[in-house]
Amino acid sequence: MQLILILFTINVIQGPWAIGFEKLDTNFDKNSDKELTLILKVSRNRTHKVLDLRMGDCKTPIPNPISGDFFATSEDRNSFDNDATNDELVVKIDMDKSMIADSPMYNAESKVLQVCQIVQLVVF
Amino acid sequence: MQNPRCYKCARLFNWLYFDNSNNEVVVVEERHEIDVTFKLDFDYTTSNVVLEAATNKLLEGGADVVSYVQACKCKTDGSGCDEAESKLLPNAELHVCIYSTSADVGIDYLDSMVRARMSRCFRSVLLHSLLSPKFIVVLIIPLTGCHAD
Repeated sequence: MQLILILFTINVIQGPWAIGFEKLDTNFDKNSDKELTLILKVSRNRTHKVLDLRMGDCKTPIPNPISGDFFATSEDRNSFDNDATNDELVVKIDMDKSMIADSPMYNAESKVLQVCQIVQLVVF
Repeated sequence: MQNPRCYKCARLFNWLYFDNSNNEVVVVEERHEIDVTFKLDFDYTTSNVVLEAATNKLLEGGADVVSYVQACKCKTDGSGCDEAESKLLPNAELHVCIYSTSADVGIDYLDSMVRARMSRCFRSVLLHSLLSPKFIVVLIIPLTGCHAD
């Protein structure tokens, strides 16, 4: 209860807690360096966390030995004058394309690559 | 009855929980399930499908392999592209090499092929990888006595 009250107080002072999905871009061209780009809106003044990419079930970590080499995640957080309540969070995922076909994230029969990206707003 | 906050949910989302491992409270969490469908027929245009707002989202995207695949007029032994700018003589056979330009993508097989012009005057023979492991080689043979439409 105390925790909820603290959060409620923070909420009143700093505004809402929200993550809004804007867009997903995919680029698996030969020379692409960021294969997946996820664009979100996150409430300003909130601390966000971008977790490591997971399997499509959103629970299972991408298994070794490919987890360290298969992807690299980077992020940009941008504020714009025309939106006083939200920032833009751009999550960019660089995948090693040569590892996709043999990875457990890719279904060769359906030709679908399935992964999961979790984004959080947190209080430390 | 479906939870109205959750469109196409695969599982429950977590909201306001304490993460012991990091000593932090997760107030909002979004799980973006990303499906990328690879079209392997070289003529695909990337498209993204955006679903309506929800906490747990299923995202779909597409990717093509067109930038990896090239074709060239190749040598008759299938050993590589014929760089000589010699014109194809009437009734001459044409070898076409289809190959990947990147180690990221390999070509397993050629499923179908469309000749855009004078199709009834030619016959295609798929030599596949008989001549070269790197190239898929298609031999296009002109049919005698055939005239263009």
